[in-house]
Amino acid sequence: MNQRRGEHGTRRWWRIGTAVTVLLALSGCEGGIANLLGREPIYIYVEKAAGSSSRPARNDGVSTLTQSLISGFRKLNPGVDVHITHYPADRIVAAMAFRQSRGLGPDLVVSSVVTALRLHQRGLTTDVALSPAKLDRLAPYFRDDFRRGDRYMAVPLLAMPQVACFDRRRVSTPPATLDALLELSAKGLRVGLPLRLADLLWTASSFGASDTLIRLVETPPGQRASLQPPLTTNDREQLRKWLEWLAATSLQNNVDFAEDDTELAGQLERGERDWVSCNGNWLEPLNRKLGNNLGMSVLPGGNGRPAEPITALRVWSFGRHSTGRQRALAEAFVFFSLNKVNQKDMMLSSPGTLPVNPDVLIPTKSSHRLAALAASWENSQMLNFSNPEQTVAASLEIESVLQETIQGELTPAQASAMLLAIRPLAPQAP
Amino acid sequence: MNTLLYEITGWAGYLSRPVVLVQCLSAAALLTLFLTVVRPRLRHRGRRLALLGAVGLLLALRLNALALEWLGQPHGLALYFAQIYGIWLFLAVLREVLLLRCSARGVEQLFSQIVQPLYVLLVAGSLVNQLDSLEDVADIPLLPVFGDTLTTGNLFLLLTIPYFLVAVSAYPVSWLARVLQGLLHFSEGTREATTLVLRYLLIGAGVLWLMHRVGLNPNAIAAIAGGLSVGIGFGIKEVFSNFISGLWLLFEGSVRPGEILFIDGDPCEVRSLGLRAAVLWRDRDNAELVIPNQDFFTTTTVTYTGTDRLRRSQVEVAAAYRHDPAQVIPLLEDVARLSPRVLSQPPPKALLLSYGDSGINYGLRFWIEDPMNNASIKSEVSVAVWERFAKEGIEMPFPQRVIHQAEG
Repeated sequence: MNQRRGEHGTRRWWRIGTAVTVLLALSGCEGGIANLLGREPIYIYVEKAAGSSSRPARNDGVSTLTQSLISGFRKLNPGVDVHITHYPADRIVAAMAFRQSRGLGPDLVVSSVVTALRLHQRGLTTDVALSPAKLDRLAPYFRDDFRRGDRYMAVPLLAMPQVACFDRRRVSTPPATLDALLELSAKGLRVGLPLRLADLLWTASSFGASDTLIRLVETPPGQRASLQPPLTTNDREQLRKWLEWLAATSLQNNVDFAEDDTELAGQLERGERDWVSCNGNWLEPLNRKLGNNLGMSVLPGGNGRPAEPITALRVWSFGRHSTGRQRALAEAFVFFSLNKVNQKDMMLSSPGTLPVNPDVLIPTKSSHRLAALAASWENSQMLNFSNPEQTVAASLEIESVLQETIQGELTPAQASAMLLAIRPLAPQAP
Repeated sequence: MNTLLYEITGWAGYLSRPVVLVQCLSAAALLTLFLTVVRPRLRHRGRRLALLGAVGLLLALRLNALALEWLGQPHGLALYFAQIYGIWLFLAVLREVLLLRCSARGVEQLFSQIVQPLYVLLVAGSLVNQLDSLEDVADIPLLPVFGDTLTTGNLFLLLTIPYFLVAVSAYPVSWLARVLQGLLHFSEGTREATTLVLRYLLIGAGVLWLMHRVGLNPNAIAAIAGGLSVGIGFGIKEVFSNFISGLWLLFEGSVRPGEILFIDGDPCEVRSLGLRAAVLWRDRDNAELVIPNQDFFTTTTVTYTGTDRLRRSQVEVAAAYRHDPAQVIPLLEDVARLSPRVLSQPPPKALLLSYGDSGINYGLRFWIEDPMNNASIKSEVSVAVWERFAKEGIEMPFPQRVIHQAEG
């Protein structure tokens, strides 16, 4: 009896095993089980905006993407399902590595430039070839940073210049210079400034110190000794003046520094600040909360120079383990997102973003917000992250010195010395 | 709900990738081979060989992952299958070890109620985590509830947390009650009562936390409470009455686990006091009585364990008229004193109860420690009395009728 039962059990396991094997083998056909059901899925990971706040960033140029871009793409490709997964900036690289090790990585990733570079450097994403016809959809100045020979490691999607956001009930005329900003704060305007280096760099540009800071951040440790051209005395002087301004500003009653722009946007939203620097990540929630009371302008300059903020980019990267069909769909989706109509739609429906397609006209006359973004973009710069890990580490190092300066633990001279000790100085002229 | 189904069906698309398929197929082939070829041959060769076979499958799964890694292929999924099977195997071994040291019932209860459901959750959660972001899946809206949106994560919590609150709470609460008993030196009954009250508190707090966690607004909770009030008033009055009665009895201390009650003339031990009913054990026929809690409110309850566990018992015996009561009474008291399960304090007491038709009736009263042993101790004492009477030549009278025939 027991033997018969054992044989019956074995036969049952044989049947189950055979069924599973056949099912899995069938799924190996191009398109797999989903294709058998008439669906073709592609997977997209979206990096949520950086920020330590628990408040999730819902914009990222992606809410628009999920709502209109996907539906537009599916109208042209009815059998395609687009699956979006969100990850915070500090977890997306680890999440990608985890899933790539299983062959379950995405077909596409939308992220910041630094994240895209980190993913590429770790071999988690692959290059893509762009035909001349496709390259026409990208403004030339967006292409070079991502070119690797005749291929591209990422494809820009949207630009998000840094601007000033303020409550129009409290600020009738936005300050045009740093001095005007501090004067207004002395009269009661509550100002919020970021402490993250990339977000604070616009203040350094007024003192001519931004190039020095960018060089400090971008130079890999091995090349410190042979830094070319070497930092000059003038570079050091400009850096010291900026640090002095920073220290003096931190003593103002109505100026507060926040660790990231997430916190600043939240403070403006809650009415705790009247004027903050911000970017496209936060304009949608701010706009929802403040409505027409949300004002936008270019960031204030100084010493006869306009502010030169950093423009953040959202870029596409391509996953490693897509099937041929998934890769083709992913590429089609990316180029669909770059066409004039979609770029214009995203610009208009996602506040704070600008198109990367040069053929899209920005309606600066009809929208003061787009005018501010465009003006900010004109003067902005993009960081060249040749070594993203080193850049992130150096930024944190500098931010730590800035934090101590703002809290009064370091004098500007000490802070300057510490920052310059991170990188060598040019030999002093005799 | 459509979004959730959309996501789940989307996961199938990964199977179209050769790198995923190789990992799944190789693991499935190894498992099939084990279940159809290896395991049947080891089935009747003892547990050790069966265990070795299972360990062999684990090694094969690990080797499969290593081979894929060596070939430069993604192998995380193959490793995941090995890990999941490894945990299963570890739990199986742990169960066997526990069975050697603990009661089978306790181990089976632990595994069926907690360990296996937890393992299922672990497999389900980790599988989703392989394929997607758990946070994103948990955030998928399912349906509107009281003006709010019920998400996948909240539905999952609503389905699992109450179960684990009830199943798991017994263990830490029981441990805590034992610690309190050690510190405060209270009785077993009080410990049982403390355990139950603490458990109710823990479950109540857990349910409140869950309602807060899933975002049920206060108005919704008030609406639920209102609905329950009507339900209690009409439909589930008895259930609620029993629940409140159970709590009341616990605090009052008259019906607690370990107490001895007289039910229909039989001493019964309270085994447990549940939400609805108390379970009592009757020694006479080893029966378990399930009595609704509120019955103890409406009927008189006789208990031997209200203030202490002592019981006074009595054996009745008769001696012939020719024996002097002054000789019989000390004899009876001596018999009781010598009986091993009769307490020396309070001392046994023999009394002359009445003058009967055939002899003088005596009552031997003595105290015993455990009320549940009354019948057996009475039997022991009665046998001892018979033996002592026989030894001392004291006659136990029985009804006698002397018939005198009238003359003439």
